[in-house]
Amino acid sequence: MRKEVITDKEAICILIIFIIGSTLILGIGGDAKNDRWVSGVIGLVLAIPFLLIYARIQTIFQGRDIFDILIILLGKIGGRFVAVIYIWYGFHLGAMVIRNFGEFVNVVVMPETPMFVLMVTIGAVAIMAVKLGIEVIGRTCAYLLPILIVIVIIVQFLGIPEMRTNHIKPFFSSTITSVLDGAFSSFAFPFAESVVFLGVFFTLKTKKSPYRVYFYGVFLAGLLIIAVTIRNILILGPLGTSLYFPSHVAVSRISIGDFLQRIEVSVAFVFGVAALIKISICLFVTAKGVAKVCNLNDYRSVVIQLGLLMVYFAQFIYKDIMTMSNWAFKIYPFYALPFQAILPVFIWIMAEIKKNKITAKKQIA
Amino acid sequence: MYKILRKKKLEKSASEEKDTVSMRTLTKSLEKNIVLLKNAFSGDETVMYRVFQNKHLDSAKCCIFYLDGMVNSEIINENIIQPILSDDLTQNISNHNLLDELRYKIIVANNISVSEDFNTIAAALYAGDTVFLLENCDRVLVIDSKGWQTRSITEPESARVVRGPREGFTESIIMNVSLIRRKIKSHELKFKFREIGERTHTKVCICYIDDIISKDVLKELERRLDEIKIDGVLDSGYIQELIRDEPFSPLETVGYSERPDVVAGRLLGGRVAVIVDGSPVVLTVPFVIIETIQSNEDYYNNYIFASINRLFRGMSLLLSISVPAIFLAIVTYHQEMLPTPLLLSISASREGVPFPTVLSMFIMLLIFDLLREVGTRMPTPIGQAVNIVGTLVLGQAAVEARLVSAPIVIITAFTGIVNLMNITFIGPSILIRFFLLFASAFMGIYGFIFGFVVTLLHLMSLRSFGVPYMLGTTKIEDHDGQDVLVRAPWWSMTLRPKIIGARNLVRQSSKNKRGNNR
Repeated sequence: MRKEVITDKEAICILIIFIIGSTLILGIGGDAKNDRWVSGVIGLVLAIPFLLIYARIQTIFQGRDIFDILIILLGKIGGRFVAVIYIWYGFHLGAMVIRNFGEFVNVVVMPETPMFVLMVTIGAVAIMAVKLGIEVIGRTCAYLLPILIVIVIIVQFLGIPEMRTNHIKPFFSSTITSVLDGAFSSFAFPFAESVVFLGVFFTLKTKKSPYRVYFYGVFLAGLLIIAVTIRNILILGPLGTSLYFPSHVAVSRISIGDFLQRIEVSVAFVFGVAALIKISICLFVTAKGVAKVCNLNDYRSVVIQLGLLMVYFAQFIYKDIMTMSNWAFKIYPFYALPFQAILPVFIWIMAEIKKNKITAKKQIA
Repeated sequence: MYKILRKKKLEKSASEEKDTVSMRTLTKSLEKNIVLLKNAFSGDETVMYRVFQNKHLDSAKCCIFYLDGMVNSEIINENIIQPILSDDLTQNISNHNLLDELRYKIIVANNISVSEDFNTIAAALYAGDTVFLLENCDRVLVIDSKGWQTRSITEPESARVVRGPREGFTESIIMNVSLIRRKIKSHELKFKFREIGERTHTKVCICYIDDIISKDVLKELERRLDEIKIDGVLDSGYIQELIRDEPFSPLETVGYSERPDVVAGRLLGGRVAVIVDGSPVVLTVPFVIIETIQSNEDYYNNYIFASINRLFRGMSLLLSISVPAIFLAIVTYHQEMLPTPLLLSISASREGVPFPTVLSMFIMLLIFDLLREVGTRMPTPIGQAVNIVGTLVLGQAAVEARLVSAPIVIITAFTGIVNLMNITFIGPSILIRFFLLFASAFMGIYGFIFGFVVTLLHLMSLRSFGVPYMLGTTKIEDHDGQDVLVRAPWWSMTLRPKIIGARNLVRQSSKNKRGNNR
């Protein structure tokens, strides 16, 4: 089989689409009211050291995915054990995104269609994408990202007549704790979710690329998310916090000349595509991990099984949309902390030690 | 399974044939040789032979074999028979090696060779050559006397242009080769011939510019051509399907054209052309999707006008696959997107229509494709009748009878017309259109989005001879993107696309750049 390679540009595109995935529709920042955008900025800044760590790990072990790295660092048994934890994270994240999508479409557009049908459909497309390989996903993202960005920008401009500047003022009106809470939540969801890409970026060509890709990707995505958050605050005002899907409602307010109206479909397009890519990446990493842990030759043989399991898991992961929203903003940041911050730091420290040993050995020899 | 069976059968019959052929060896006796050839070609009454003798030299008794209709009888009469009949062969001719003497001194022909192998003789005979037998000689002369009727060079019906050369390929491979050669007079332009088809022995020519093409593509193409084991090749379509990548994809991964200027342009762009005898359609590989919307006229017209036309073509390609699906999604799932007056008029026109929108849309699209196929197959004089039936009965009357609503007829007509803009894309677009239509019927705009992404993923996964099928569509910054959605002015296109024409990037010296020379 041919070795898959993605270019830096494609990797940045995947990363951006991954991060705006479910965030554009669920919003960020939780309780920070009209300072949610500040939470977003702080969350992005908080993510910087961790991005450095992820990129550093990937640079030390260029061409190896996180499961390989774990097995090298922790030995065959210990490495596999920790690998299972990351497989679980990818699997759970994918299931959550599937559920987000299912809830969104079910609540907003098709209340009569069973949610399971919607989730199976998006799952099936994701399975197909992963079966075609990361290279194809990368090229598709490079094609789709410009379309998504153009849509977001156009909607941004169309929303100007509906914006009220008094919605965002006064700055820092909410308490500092709620802003920091929101920042922590937006750090975990979505910025630090890029830890999943430790299982993808082994396909990059050069040693320098991880830094470039992580920074460009996360910053551009952060910019988009913060811009959309500001738009939502400006259009919706205090109402925004109590909505499950603020972007959707904000865009539905747009009405230009009695002709261009109710263009939520644009949000649906962005969300549909981005969620699909996010699910595909999660599924890819999960399948890759399972293949590594079980010593399979090709991850493609477990994609269908894992994809379907992901859909079933998404079916019973939450009771309803309230649980989902509560989980995403309140519990998820703490749940994700080990995967996003604690374990990567350990891996990084061990990688540095191991690397020194290897270089020392080489020097002696 | 069928393929394997057929292959085995073929191999068997081929080996049998060889056994009988091996016994056919020429002897010294002219009589016996004539009998041998007559027996070998018994049952084929187009095989003609004539025995004649020089009036001065009795030993110069000879016989020619040729195929009626394949030869130019003037050549045979004046250049072969006449010199041997009337010249005084006793002078200046040594008797002991008469065949070579005749070959070098008497017979007038531009191409002549000696052979003693029966298979070569038969092949030459079938190609229109004349076989010349001599008394007391177990070798024969194969004299070039080809001359059959060919179609003259005309503009191809399927691809007319307003501006540009009007010549098109014909069925004769040599004429096609000469048409290309006349455009590119470089010693780097190579033609390699081979034969494909166990029974038809069709000549196939690979044509490329040696210092531009990537060697990998050429090697891969030759490998795939070598692997072809088929009894007959009647058109380049056979080869096209046998050498293509991704055999199950509805999209074409091998390009084709009937115009020498298009093929020459692609050769200069680093492609390899495959010319098949008997087919006016020349194949080019590798093929990328953007060639579907490129037209040769783009390069002859003003670049702004050409770019606009090309954008139209690209748009029509997108519209032809997506308009019915988007219409269906909006009308059945997202009515809120429509302004109220439009929504009211659409729902008013749906009043009393018994079928659901998706069904009537499906039926109407099917009927359009039916009519299109009828239009291509029927004899021209009946065309009028079909047009009337198509437009009046199926359009007007169906709406008035409340079988379908008027917007659906409009959407169908629009889709059908824009679809015809890219002739080569008609086949795949039918499949993609119905796929997206059903996806939309299933999940509204989300179904459409997923269908769109699935199509895109499939397109992205395709490769034609190692070159990504969607080459150039994802980036516009360097020279790869200059000739994709727009056609950049000639003075700025100094380099060839990187992946295809990698070995010799420079298309024109950068001196031509605007500003340097004017």
